Amino acid sequence: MTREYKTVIKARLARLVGIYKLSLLILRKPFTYLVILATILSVIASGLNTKYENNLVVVRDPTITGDPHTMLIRFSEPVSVEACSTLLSGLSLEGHCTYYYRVILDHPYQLVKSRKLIYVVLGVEEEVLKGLGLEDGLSEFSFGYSEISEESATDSMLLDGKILEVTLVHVNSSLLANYLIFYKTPIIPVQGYVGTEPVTVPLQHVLISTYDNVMRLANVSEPLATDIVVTNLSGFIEPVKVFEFLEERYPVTEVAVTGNGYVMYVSEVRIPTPDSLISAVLSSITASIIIISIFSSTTPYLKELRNKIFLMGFQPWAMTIVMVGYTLTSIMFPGLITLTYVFISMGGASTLNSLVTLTTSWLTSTIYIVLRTKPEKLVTEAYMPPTFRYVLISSVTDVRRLTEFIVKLIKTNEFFTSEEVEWRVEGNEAFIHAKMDYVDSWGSGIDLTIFVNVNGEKSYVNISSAVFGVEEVSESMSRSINALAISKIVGGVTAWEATS
Amino acid sequence: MGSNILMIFVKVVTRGSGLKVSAVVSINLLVILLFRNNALTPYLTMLLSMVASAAIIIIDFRLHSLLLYVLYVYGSRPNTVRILISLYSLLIASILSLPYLAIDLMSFSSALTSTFLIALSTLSLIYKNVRGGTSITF
Repeated sequence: MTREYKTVIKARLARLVGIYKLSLLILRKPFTYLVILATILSVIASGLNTKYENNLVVVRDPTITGDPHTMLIRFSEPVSVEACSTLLSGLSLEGHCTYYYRVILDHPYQLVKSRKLIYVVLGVEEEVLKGLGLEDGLSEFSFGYSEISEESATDSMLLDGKILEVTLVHVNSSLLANYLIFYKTPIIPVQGYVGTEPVTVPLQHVLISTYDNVMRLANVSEPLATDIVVTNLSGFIEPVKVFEFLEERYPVTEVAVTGNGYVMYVSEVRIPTPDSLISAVLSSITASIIIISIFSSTTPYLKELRNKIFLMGFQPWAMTIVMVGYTLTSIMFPGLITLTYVFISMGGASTLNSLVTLTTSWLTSTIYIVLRTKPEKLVTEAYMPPTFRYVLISSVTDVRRLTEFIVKLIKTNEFFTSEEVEWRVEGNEAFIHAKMDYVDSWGSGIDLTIFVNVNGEKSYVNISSAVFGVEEVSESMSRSINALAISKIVGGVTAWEATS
Repeated sequence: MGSNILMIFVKVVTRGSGLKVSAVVSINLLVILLFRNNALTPYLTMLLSMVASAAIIIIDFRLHSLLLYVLYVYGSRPNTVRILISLYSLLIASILSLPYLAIDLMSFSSALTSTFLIALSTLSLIYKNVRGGTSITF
């Protein structure tokens, strides 16, 4: 490594350390605590105020007849078949329940002779088996399988290290693949969708049988169901109502009800309501106002800091980096930790609301502070300072008359109230001092010192002014006050001279 | 002198950012409280109001310092200064507590409003003492 390269690296490291130290300096200021507190409280308030509703989708299809209505209920894990009777009695409905036990196995069963792996086991009622062409039903340990050529065959099934002798009965593959338990819902579990078309498990991996057989295979004592279809419903019922009733008791994932020309789906996916988003936006506005106000009051300090680091040789972007780093550390970092807490304790919908609040607050605050501490442009408009000295040359040679007239002009200036006016004439010279309060702004005014000197044919009126204020008087205000005071004297004397 | 001091107070109140910030925060909190669906929301917004009230002290720091100086120049007595600052703090606290007073009429317990007012007043008291102890030397 060359000596020059080492020097460059050292200089850059020194700047990085400088930026880091500068960031620490700002972070240690007491207002940072308020920024952190405002962020945390707004994010939590936004999360707490979240109202959400289950996602409702309506599919329109004129071919659907809603009389009588049919309902599909899906669960994330097998539930007791009593769920249907509980639902019907709980919502005072009547209908016919059809149960389906459809599971995708984590560890497949193996058909030893056929050398096939079974990933899906379907347990259905007798009426469904009849619909699939198995009118005679299935005896104990008999399973419908579409991938055998003969009517029935015996095979050994390896499950959990045990061998089970089973009878495979041929089932029509076309009937099985196209059998629907509900509107566009095949009996074979759906793995995914290509466009709108469902992709199901290949039939070579599917076994279907009676409820009893499948329950024996699953080694459970009571009948369970993963899907329930309720047909011949006594009336239309809102799927949201059904979902809300069931979700308190069972792990329901979807409820769908057919209507006249449409199907309504309610899923477990929850989305924040518009009210709740308004609340999130308001929380972010509140946080932004507080943070921006704090930043606004600290701008003079930050600007002073910026000017100091410029003198130390830092680039203009150093301050931008420092300020973005500051907002990241004081707003984003505690905000993300709070967001994690909101996610764990309140769920995804609340987190979305809180995220809206956090992002909005951070963005507005960062943009504001970066713009406020941005260095001024090197090329600016040339500023013309107001004239604080004015020499008026007049042809009036009577020094006393001229002085008295100037005093009169001072006292009658409508923009000022004369706090004190003192004057003295000695020979060809006169001195006037006036302190005038500006009427349009409390606590500010102008101090005038005027020398009148007559020399031969001409008189010279030298006006000096100093604008004062109990507060800092802006440049524009100073210029206005100065102009209003001097112009009255200059204009008044010129007009008087011309008319006298 | 009394009218001058009153004029100074009115100018500080109208020219400072504190009043505007507290009014905007207050309106926001009112709407948040109207849309609330959690029992903890009022308490959280109360804390947020307290943060806002503390922020206002920082925001108008220079203006307040100037006020103290001007009052001193006018020959005000320390108690007059303290009363004026307390009046200002009370004004800010009242504006920030307006959402709670408005909501209280509908559903909240008066205890919550009282707690809120006390909390804000305490904060104002701290502010008053800090200003009184450090900036004014009579």
